[in-house]
Amino acid sequence: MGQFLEPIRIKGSFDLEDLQNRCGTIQNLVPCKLLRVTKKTDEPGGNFNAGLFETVDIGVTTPLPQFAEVDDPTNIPSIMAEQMQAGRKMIFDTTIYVSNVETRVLGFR
Amino acid sequence: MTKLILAILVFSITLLTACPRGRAKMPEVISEKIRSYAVNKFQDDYDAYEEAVRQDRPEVAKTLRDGLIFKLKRNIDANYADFENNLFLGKASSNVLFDITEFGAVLAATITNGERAKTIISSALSAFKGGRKSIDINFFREKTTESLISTMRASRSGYEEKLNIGLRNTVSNYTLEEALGDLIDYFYAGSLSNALVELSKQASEKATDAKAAADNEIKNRLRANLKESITISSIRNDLNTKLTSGTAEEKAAARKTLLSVLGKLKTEIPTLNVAFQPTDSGDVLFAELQRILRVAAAMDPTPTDTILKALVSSK
Repeated sequence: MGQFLEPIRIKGSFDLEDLQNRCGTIQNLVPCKLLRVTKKTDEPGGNFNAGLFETVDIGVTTPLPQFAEVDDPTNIPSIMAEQMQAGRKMIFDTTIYVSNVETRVLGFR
Repeated sequence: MTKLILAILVFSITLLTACPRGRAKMPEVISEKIRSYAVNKFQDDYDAYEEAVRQDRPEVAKTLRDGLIFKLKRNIDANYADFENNLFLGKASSNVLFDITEFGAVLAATITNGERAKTIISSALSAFKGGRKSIDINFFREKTTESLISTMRASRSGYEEKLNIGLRNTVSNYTLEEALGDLIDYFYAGSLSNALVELSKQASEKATDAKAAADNEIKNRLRANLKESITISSIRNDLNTKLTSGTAEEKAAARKTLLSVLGKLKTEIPTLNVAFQPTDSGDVLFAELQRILRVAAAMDPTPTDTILKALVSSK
């Protein structure tokens, strides 16, 4: 069992690709794995999210997380089916800032 | 003394602002005959056009339509040339006048004896400057005459092009009413209000472009961060393997690398607060590298390029 890191502040202006790359960079440097991303509510000066990570052993490579935007909840089954087909499992379902807009996002790894 | 200063001021304002003529005198044939297009003549041409359309004579109607539009356009162009000229000279003259008044008041305030007189002149100068600023803000939105004129010209040529393209069509595809509509747009394109709106639009477009460029830069940086972090991770894993299960030589080489890396990062990224002793063991140095990688991971922008450079050059 790894150790939880202090939540890392991530800009809410990032789009999904930026967010994935930012989380992937953190995973590689620490090394760690992303548990979830949440909307940061204690930042009056702008839109920010917080990434919660858990450390992994050195030498363990965590795959790059994949995020999918849910614009219509009826699309969730097809999003999940597509990700599962690619061998990924869901790690979170949350509403966060994407390009400064509150967006429902599913996270996979 | 005060009277003398006032006399100099009045003299300067009234006589020294005589500006050169803004343009050559227009020949009478142009100014009286070609420029003018009387309302009753317009009505005659309009009626003739309507008649030609009614009689289904498209070529005649087209000739009448084009003639009517070109006559109106000629008037608009002539008036616009006057307007542009007056705008340029008017603003230049008033600026010269205002400058002389300001300089005179400053001079008067400097050489006048008596505190009360100085205070009055200074207050008057402040009020004058405020008024001048207000004119610039409210009428010209602080834009230079050149930028206003070039914006009006650009806007007018856009509408002129639209009009010319339209006039190549038959009257059934481009009626006189449509042409008059475009002509009105052409007329307003040469107005101060349109120039200010256009300038504001251009500024807004520039801001949007700048934001898109900045967003793109961030995207590229994050992609580079990810790529570099993969290489950093690989080098770090390699160092760890050598320190934990390598030969004595490999352990010594890994320790040497870590010393070099930490030394470089201490200088190049002071915010990482790199702390180590040259006598530290390989394991201690590795733990420090791990600590600073965690700190760097939380930084945005993440200095992966500098870290990677330090790791690669120390191998």
